Amino acid sequence: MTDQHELVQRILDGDKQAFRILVEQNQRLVSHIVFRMLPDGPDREDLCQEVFLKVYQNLGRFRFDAKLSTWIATIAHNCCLDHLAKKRLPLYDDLGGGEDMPEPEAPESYSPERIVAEGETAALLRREIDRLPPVYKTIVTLFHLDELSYDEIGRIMKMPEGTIKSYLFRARRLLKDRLAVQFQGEKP
Amino acid sequence: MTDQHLRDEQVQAFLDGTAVDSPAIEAHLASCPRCRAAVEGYRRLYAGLATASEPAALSVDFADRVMARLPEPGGFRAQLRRPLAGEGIFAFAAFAALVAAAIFFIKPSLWHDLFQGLFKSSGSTNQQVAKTAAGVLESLKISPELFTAVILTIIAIGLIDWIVTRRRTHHTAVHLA
Ligand SMILES: [Zn+2]
Repeated sequence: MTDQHELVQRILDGDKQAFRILVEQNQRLVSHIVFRMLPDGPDREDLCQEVFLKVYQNLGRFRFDAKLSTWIATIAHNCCLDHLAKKRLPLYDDLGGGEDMPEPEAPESYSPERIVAEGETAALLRREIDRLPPVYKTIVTLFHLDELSYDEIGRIMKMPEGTIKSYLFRARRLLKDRLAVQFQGEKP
Repeated sequence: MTDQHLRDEQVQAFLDGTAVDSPAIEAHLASCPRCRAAVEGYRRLYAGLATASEPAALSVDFADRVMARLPEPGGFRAQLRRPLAGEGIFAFAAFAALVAAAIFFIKPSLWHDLFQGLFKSSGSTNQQVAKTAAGVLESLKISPELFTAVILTIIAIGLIDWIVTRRRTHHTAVHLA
């Protein structure tokens, strides 16, 4: 019996402290999905809470046919899709050439203090990631930050592995092109 | 391979560790500065993404807020979710059923008396009910003895389950306080 099996069993037996451990272990992953899929706003953290309430209510149905974290991430992704559908927000707007894309609103990410603190390149990159459509930036974050495989991301987002791979490649290509000065590589 | 530059997808797959032709790519890179520069550019992008792809953080008391919203342990949903398998409830149930079955087969009259006693204790209305109930059971080909045994067994299991649940809920409450 793995640690995760034991943790789930403790929660099902009514141990609330065990559930707190589950929350702490997975809250970062859940926030990555929710904060990437939904536009900036106060309801994002509420939605993260709701994800865990859903996890709590449905844990008895979890059969370990995937990793626990993957299952939780799938619930987070589903909650986001429901939320976006309710608010009629777009999921895929065209990656396009980039010129016609609206500037992102979140100004705190690009404050002069922050740019100085983490360097201009990181700040620019952060801004460009925020400008990507939700699906693309979610995939980029899950791959590069949570270090999930194409296959795991595909399970969470219910897309074929090949689609995940092609979205990821397109997103990175776009980031590299938009930040050509920073990422063109050494010229011979 | 050496006469053709690497395609963008090849460079990315190579860095992801998912390229199917890694040895050929490495061979090409050894002799091609232009493709080496492309790989280097992506390598820097990947390094940047490892930190810059982090979105805003959750509030520090996020877990507390989730815990505060959990349904109460005694609530209806918790009852549905709570597995019966915990704390040997099945063993209790099996034991109770075994005892009931043993009594039923060894001494059916005991259940018969109990069944009669349930209704005959007072007044003629109860006797009327007993007669009707016995009639219904007979038409269903269920003996009153078996019926009484099943009902009492279910009550016994329910009682044990209730006691176990109360104890566990009490434990959790104490633990959280
Ligand atoms: Zn080349």
